[in-house]
Amino acid sequence: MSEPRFRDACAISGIGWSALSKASGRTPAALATEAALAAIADAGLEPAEIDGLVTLFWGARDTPAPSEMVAALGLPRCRLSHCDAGGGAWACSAVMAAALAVHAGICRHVLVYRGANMPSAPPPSADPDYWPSGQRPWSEPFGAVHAATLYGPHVAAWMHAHGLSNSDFADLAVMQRAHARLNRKAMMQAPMSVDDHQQSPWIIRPFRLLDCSIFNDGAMALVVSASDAARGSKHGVVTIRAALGGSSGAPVRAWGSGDYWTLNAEALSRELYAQAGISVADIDIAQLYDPFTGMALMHVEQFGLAAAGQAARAVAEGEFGLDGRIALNSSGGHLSEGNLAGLGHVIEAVQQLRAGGVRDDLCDGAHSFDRSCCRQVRSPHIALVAGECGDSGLILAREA
Amino acid sequence: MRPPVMDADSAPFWKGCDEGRLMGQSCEGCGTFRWPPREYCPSCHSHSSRWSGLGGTGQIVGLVVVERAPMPGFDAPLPLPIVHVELDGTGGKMVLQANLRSDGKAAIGDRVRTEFTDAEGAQRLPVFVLQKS
Repeated sequence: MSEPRFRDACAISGIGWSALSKASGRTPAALATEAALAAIADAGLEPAEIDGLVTLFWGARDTPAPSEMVAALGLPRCRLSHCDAGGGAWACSAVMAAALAVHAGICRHVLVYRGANMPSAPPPSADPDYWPSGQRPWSEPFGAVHAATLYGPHVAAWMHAHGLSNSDFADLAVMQRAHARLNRKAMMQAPMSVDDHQQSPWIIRPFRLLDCSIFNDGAMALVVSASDAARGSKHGVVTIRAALGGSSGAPVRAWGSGDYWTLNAEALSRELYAQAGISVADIDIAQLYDPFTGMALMHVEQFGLAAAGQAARAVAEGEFGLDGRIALNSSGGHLSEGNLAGLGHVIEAVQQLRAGGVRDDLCDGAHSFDRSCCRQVRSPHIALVAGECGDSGLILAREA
Repeated sequence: MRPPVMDADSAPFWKGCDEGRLMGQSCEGCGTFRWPPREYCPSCHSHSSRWSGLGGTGQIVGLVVVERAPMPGFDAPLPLPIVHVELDGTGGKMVLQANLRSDGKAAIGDRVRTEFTDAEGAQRLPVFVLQKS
């Protein structure tokens, strides 16, 4: 666990993104450069001040390499080039890696980015997810080649234990769509009802089409700086209060637990909250990885935001809406905003915590908190952000 | 679907399948089953292990059913049930993922036994069959 001196020492000083689409017609480098330039300008920096790069991918290397981005951005130097291969599970640990380099004094401003044309131009590769001695030889021969087949069995076990069915997933999908409709960069803008969810086709049981993450082109980026360097920004300072990364084991068998559905989230959340010096009651907003509705609900429970088996009920009762107890996936998340392997979750938390709040909802001028146009949560101070399975997590805080 | 990749750790398992036997690896140091198979025990880090035949019965602890091809080139017949089965006699350590040969509905908790595929010239794979109660 990090020393407490890491607490609030670093800040997310800039955020940026490209358009999200099904077919960008542009290169991943162009998309990533657009998002990077936006994030750097947002931080009030010049590109030449970036001196470290972190990107993330899962399986195939579909995001531009740091060396490409050094060239694309014309950086005079780069002191950290880190490729995190854990994909969405480690989105928060990618931010942590950047913060550790800043905190160590090795870098001043690290850019964390991902740009990819996932559906329109997937990288050609015969064996995109190959790791030596990995778990894939034990899943691929049986047709288990998709995230839903990797995590679905654990979700099914959790559903069975708590007497849940697919219809219990509908309210989360509907809520996140409502959030996305207040987000100008979100891909999915059509209204969704519980009926729409229940009539959407099965993809991989227990998941229907509207239980699944979007698969899209696009790029997102953010800048990590020392909090001292970020002070004076018009956005206020959003600090990294705590960070953790690291899986507790490959998901062939459950994560070393006594049951078949406990993810790394349960152990990580306890340590993360202790590191931050907070309890669940202090959390105002949560951006939790949502590859599938059922996984997001498991994250809600295993991060302690709802009792075991109660997340779906709590969503249905409005506990996680924009004006609820804890605003959950307020951008629409992967289900309805778009998928950049978790960077969108971090960016949404930063936007919500900033002095001016989110800048891409439908408000004209100051935030009205009218939920027909405004997605800004009322004065949040603490955000939980989690990668897939709780393999990484962040507590972000708005500096008083 | 892609055939299994055999390596020094997994070869005894796949050779067993070809002979119609479900093989499991346990630690000679502490007796714990190792899954997936590996040279060193994750519990006691002993390098010694033994392979033995398993009964092949067990209980479904996780399941999904692929209803739509998740990606281009996915050529398995649909719907395709994929189950995780905790194998009897392995101390809960060996949870094998494989397809379920079933025309009925399967559920978590159902009991299964192991058979093996038998396609000409292909590596034989374990396949689970529901046990009649």
